[in-house]
Amino acid sequence: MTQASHSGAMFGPSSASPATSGHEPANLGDILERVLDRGIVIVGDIRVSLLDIELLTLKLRLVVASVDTARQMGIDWWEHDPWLTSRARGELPAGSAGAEPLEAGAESLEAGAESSEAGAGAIDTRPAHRQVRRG
Amino acid sequence: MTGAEPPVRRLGRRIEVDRDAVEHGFASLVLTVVELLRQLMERQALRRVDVGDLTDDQIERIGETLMALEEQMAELREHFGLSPEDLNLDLGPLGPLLPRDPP
Amino acid sequence: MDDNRQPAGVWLHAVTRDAGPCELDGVAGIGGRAVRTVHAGGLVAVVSSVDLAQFGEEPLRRNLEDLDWLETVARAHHSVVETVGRSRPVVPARLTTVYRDDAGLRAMLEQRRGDFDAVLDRVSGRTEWGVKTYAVPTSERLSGTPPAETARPGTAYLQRRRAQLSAEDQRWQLAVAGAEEVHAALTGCAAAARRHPPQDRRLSGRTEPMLLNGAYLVERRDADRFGAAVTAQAARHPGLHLELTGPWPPYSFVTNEFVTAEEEPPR
Repeated sequence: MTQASHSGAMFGPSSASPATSGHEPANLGDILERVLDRGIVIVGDIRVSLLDIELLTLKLRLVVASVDTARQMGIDWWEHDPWLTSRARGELPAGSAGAEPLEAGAESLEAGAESSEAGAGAIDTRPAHRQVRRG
Repeated sequence: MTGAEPPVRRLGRRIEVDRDAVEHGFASLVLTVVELLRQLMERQALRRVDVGDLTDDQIERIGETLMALEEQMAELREHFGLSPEDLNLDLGPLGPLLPRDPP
Repeated sequence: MDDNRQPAGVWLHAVTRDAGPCELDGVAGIGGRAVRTVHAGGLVAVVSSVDLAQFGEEPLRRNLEDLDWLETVARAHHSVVETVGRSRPVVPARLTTVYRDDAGLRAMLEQRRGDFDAVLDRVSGRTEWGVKTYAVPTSERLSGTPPAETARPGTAYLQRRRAQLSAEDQRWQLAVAGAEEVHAALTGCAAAARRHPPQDRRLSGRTEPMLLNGAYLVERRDADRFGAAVTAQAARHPGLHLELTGPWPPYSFVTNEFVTAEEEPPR
């Protein structure tokens, strides 16, 4: 069940062409990985830090950001759900999380997940409050 | 996290937010953290058991507690309509937060 | 025709030797215009004139967050690099290398000609191949040795979990060791090799862990032999899935000795 496969569906280096030859465009991920993170790094006159790039919608960042957005939109059901709010429940059943660990959880994830030096795919660990800026 | 539609769709430069998906994503984030802790506790308990200085009764008690914890996690998941695969976080180059195989 | 109302920047695609004509007539660069060349220090830089309203520092930062824009620009940039590299040694420039004018670029080329020559020598007659290795996904849950029959429920649970975890750990160790062997074998077939961090799964589109993201600089004439080596490694490691891409311009083999972000651009 193992295979060495080539992007472009045909195996074999002689038949390979990764990019714009007209038939199969190369995988965007492979291209981005190379043009963003490899190649000569020369400081031109225009300087943009590639670590600032948010490549794709990151679910983690989105979810963390969406807590604030959600509250602004009036979504706050978790503050009343007995599973999540020790206040509503009276006491925490063993194994359940209270409402406050979300922030702590998100922060510990930020502290734990380091920003990768590889530009493509860098995880953004900036705090949530900086994220809510698109509308 | 597999199986969930991204709550934000890119329309050119405008962003729409899907409320249901936001809540879904939120619950799975919380439970993922809880699940992470549960798995860490399990591993720590096993290491302690391996040290060999616990009585059989103590071992049994630890095992029962962890078993109950696992059941509770399953209930919590069901409560929010999440599958085991939903409880995970993609840390990009670091891989997923939780080991891929469901416990 | 250049739009004289907007300042024009110079986007660098790649650098090659100034030896013979560059067959770049009509090759499309960034923003739809054809590429052009800038000569200095025995080198040729292949560039696109770009509109600083789109490619200046602020707009660039914003545009880079637009995946559609980024995809278009990345593909166009790569296409130019590839075209240049088809027939000659090429040093690809990383995305977003932009100068305000030709003079700045020329000065850099003059200043760096030694470095460029060294790199061009290194990649001459060679292309890059990428090999990614994934652990084969398995849906079956490993159970390991079952617990003793007489065990009490809590104790049995612990024994089950321990068996599961150690079986998973063991399989993981095997996969990692296999990936190391693959890399070592392929390095032996190449003039140079580099390991990159595992690709972000949002880019790779795969859920299995990537155990190896390798780049290999291979003589053009050895391309088939390298491919055969990859097939052979795949056969030897049934727990791994190998993916070969290429040939690529030598993106991974031009960065070592070069300028870091701290250096001032030449004036």
